[in-house]
Amino acid sequence: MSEQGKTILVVGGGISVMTTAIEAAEAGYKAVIIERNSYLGGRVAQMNKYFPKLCPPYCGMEINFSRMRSNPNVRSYTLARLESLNKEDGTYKAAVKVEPRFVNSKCTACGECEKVCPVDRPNDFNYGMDTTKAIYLPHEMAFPVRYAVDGAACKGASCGKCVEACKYDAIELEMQAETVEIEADAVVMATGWNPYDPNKIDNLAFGKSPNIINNVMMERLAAVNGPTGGKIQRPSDGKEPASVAFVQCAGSRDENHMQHCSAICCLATFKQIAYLHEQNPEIQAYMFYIDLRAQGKYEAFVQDVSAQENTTLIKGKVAEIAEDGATGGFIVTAENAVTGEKVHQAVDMVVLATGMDPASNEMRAPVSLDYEMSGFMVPSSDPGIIATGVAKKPSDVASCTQDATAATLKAIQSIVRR
Amino acid sequence: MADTVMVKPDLSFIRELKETGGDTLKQCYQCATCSVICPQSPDDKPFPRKEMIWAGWGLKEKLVSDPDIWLCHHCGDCTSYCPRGAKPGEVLGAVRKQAIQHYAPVKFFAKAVNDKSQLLKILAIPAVILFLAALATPGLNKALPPSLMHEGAFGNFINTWLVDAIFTSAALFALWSAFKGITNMWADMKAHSPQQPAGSLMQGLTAVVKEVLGHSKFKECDVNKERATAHQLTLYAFIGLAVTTTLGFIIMYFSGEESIFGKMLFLAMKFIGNASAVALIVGAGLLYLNRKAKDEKSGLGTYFDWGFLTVVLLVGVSGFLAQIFRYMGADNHDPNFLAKLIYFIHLVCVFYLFAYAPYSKFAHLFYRTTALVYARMSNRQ
Repeated sequence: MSEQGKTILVVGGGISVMTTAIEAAEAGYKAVIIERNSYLGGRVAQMNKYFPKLCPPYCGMEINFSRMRSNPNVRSYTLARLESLNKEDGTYKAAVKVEPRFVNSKCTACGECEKVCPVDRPNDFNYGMDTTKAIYLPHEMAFPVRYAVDGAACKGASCGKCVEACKYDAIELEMQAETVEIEADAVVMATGWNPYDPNKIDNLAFGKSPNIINNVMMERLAAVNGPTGGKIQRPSDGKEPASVAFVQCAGSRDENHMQHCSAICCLATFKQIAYLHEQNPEIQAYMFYIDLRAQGKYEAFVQDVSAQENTTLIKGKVAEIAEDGATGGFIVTAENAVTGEKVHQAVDMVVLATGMDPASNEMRAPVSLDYEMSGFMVPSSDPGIIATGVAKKPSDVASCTQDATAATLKAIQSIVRR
Repeated sequence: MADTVMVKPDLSFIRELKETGGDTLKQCYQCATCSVICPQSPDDKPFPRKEMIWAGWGLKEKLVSDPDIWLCHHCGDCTSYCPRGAKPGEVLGAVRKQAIQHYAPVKFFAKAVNDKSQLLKILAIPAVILFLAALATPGLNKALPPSLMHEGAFGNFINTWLVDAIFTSAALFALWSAFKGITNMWADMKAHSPQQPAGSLMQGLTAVVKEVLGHSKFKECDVNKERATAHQLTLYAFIGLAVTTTLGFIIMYFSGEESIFGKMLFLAMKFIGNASAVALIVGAGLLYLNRKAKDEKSGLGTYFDWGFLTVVLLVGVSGFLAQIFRYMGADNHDPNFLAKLIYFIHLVCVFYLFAYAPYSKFAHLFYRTTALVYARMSNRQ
């Protein structure tokens, strides 16, 4: 196995990237991760529980992080972006721009800096539903376990309170961006997804009231480390909702928005109905759908949740959401296509099941790749460039990890066959 | 499955729908966004989601007798929000066309009027009739006693008695066709619709006429708001032209132009007629431009739509021009060739509008009104 020791560059930072990198490293290859966030874990780190087992992603993530820590073959850059990728003599040369974190490796995550920081910023980890200080730990399980400074929010050296508070000389407010050159023998693209921007769906009234949220926000509301400590409540007044409408296909399967089916939203909603009923079985859950898409063994999960009391499934897409006067609630309207009657359902809260918008739609990586019409990557004509995860197609976590392992094998094959 | 329903699709009906503007109907995946977005759709059995599946299944009987297809004002809101590009607004337009053809009593006209390739045949009918009338005019004018000769206009070109006879017959034919059509439709609606009409027909009709005059329902549309105003203008133009025609009739056969009363009538006729002609040209022109501008979001429509609009525009423009050319001539009573030609074209177009009204898109005047009355009387709004 003379090819061992060669390098696989992995672009992204989520579960697909971590799996690809760890599998490669454990097979004796070097893996270099470049991730734009200040932490690894991607969307999975923001999830409360997985379907259908309803177990928290943190336990699997913990195992992955410990595999990464114990393996010197994995190297990662956070706050990093691929600037360019060129192929010379079978080797890829990547230029990677690393934004300053303003916190060095001496950080012990003691948190003293945060106590003195005078600036609040919206917490993007919780989709803006709460704030952090300008110097913040992305989340409890953040990897690397290190604070970061939001350069746009921080007042800089003129304030400098955090620098004084840090006993370890870990804060460098003068830190500059740098460009790193990385040589690699294969490249795996796993740039993942963003939740589709619900502001673009004008008839679903997102943004008109804080009580209309999307499904990823619901994950944060239900998460113990979320903005409400895991209590599902209405953002406007902190009240537990007596009723919640789940609006499926909010932006998916819609040629005015995203053509594709996002594959996971039906199951995610069933999971979130389970969250509601775990908190209070009396909460009325209404799920409005076009078709229920649950493949294979997931069908059993659908059966279980739909059989729960206070769960109502309505076949019909919600096309209108109106605020219901003083209650802070809503009237959601759909036609029940089974009975042929319009349903005007009054609810306290609305969850839009926004789908997976491939991150390539936000920014295309400087890599010679083709994309299908929704922005998902199609197999490259260069066998050394492999797409995996949601960057390739909408998938749940289990499929992503399997596909990531396969991506590692393809990367290794492309090196060995060269 | 105790109550299994066997669907018997009318395949040729589906094909015709697809060929006449409903080509997108099979895209529908029944999400029912349209039924909610539609500002006209009622809560109970809303449309057009159910019509989309009936169309997909080829259930012609159900569709042509469905009053809801006429509650649709083709505003295009459903089409612009449709996640599949199934264009329910266009499909309902195609269904309405099928309904008009289905209920029209003379099948030849139902087909030919709405088929572009038959246009020459359809125009040849009035052209030949009017040509023969023009040929007969000199002899007839000589034979008629002077007391029966009407002064003015194009009487020397085509005898006014002949013109009026031709157009009265055309109007009677149209009225008969429309009456047959709407009575058949009414019977079918009663047979197939879950809602039955009750109460006074007159009351229903009065309410609907009020609504139509105000265009209150049409104005609830969003995507095509401007079309409601243009359509209303066109409707008023037609009403104005109907009044003008009646005034002309009174002057010609009852009062003459000489008395004070006759002169006043003449002035009123000229004023209303010209104002209406301008309104007609502007209204129909706006409708045309609106179709062109909105063509991506809500569809340009088909020959059925723009063909009819073209005729309306031609009636307006040719009528106006005929008047101008007549007054431009040295002798008001002996129009030149160009004026005669324009007058001839005008008469052909007016014949098209009159005689073919229950067969062309104009038929929506009868069918929509009837369906709206049915809907109102069956408490569906």
